Amino acid sequence: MNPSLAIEVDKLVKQYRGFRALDELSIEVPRGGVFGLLGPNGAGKTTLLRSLMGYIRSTSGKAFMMGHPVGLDSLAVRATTAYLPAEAKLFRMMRGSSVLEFFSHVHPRGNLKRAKEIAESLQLDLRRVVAFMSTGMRQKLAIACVLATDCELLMLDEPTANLDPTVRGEVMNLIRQSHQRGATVVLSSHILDEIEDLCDRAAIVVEGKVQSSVDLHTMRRSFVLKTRNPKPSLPQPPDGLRKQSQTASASKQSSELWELDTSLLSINEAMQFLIHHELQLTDIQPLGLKAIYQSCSVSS
Amino acid sequence: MFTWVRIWTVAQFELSGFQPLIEQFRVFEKFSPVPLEQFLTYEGIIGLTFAEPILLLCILTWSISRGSDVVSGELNRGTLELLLSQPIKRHRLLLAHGLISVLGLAVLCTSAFVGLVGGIYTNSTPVLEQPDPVKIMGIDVTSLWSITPVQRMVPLSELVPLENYIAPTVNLFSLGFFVLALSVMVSSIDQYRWRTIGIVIGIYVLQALLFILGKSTKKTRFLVPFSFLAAYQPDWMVQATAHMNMSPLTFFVPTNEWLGFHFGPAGFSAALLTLGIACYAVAFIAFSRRDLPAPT
Repeated sequence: MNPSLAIEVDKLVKQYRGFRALDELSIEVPRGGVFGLLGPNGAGKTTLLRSLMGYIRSTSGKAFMMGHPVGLDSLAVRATTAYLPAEAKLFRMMRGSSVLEFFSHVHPRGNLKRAKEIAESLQLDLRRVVAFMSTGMRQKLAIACVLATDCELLMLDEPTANLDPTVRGEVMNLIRQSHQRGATVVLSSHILDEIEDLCDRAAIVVEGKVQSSVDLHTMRRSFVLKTRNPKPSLPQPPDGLRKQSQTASASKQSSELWELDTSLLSINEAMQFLIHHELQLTDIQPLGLKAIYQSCSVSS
Repeated sequence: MFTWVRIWTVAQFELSGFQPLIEQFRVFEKFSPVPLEQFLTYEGIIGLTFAEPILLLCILTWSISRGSDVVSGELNRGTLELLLSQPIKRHRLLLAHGLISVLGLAVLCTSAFVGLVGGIYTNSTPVLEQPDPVKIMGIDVTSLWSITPVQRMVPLSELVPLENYIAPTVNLFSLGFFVLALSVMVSSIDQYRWRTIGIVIGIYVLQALLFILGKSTKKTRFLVPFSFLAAYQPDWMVQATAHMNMSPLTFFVPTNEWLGFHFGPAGFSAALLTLGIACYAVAFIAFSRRDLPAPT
């Protein structure tokens, strides 16, 4: 167990009958970071979060959350973690205000004042009974319940699903504020922009495995260069420039993609290398999560 | 309220008029835990309140609806996910729910008993009595001519001792507790509330069939102990405490049967409570070990 890590997952396996939801999945989330979980539907993101929260028991492997062994000390895990499930369901017969009061009282780190402030910032009508709230309003209420706790770790499973773009931005700000207060945030989402904006690390999960681990600080400094006339043999490119592993699609067979890390090599230096070897530069774009995500999907 | 109305209804009739009716049902006496004559007594006919379908329906509806709700109901609604993200132990959730359910059950059974007490204390019933003897010059001459009995209104409280109904009330509570615990057990394993309710009602119906089958013939009598309904004996408890001078706290009564004993009033209730506790124990273990499926 590494004390500098908020979450440490080591070869976690969840085996159902004839189906492996988590396949020796390992991740490490440093304390104080914002970690993104990406992946297609059914990749195992929610299963991972639900395993960590103790809803489901892993078949094998180890996991620690805030230093507590998951499964063995689930109560301590949940005392230090605020979790927002995907499509959180609340008590239908309660008013919004009662729901906030209930969750503020039941969690030792609950904070009713902050919960009400968050609800107000999300323009939520707390007098309304949950049963008569729209899906978006219920999501806002659940967000207010979860983000109001003074927990060291926030795990949010698709927090902005069902929200309009304005509220989505507001929720992102609230998550940012929680992070600034010192909380570690784990965010599972399909919206790449949200992960790109908020996270400093991300893992792309495909078929129960971490397909790729991305340092988003490095990614923000990186570009994708597209060249024509590929050469069969080229000398070793300078540090910071590397040929991407995947090949271009059938219609673009004569193209090659390069990844450039500008912290190691400037764009000018990279272009000099390409021109020197008679490679024609046709496009240059910042390296985005979309490209990495797509490359993972293709390779899987 | 129901028990009060039931007793008010009973109080409207003079019971000896039911003698011919009882004779019609003599063939079904083997299904009754007590001789049919007991239903010609106010104690017996009031004791029959505990076998009334409406009363049983109220108790069983509470038990099954509360019991089925605790896990599969919460899972069905999706509320368990956010609830268990709080630092609450699973068994504490089950315990808190169980306490409220048992308290509600106790309130229901107590209100049934209070209605019964109210009914007994506020109602009078017509009783036929022979008129006072007619004496002429100190000689009783009543037998010289036929005198029709006189109808007199007698308060039920003079005819029926209240303490006879404490054991049947406890027995009713015990039945409710067992069905509650059975529902909690199925709920803690299941995912859908409708299925939990279906399974519990199915078990109840099967047990009722088993009980009826066991009571039907001598050959099938061995089936009776396999039905938990054999431990629900409010009528017999009224008879045992009123006419057999048995204490309501009797657990076992020695007999010549192969077991050497059968249950007393407290024994029947204790058997149901023990079965209920066993179901709760299974529920605790199952719920604390199971995987909780994601809300649908």
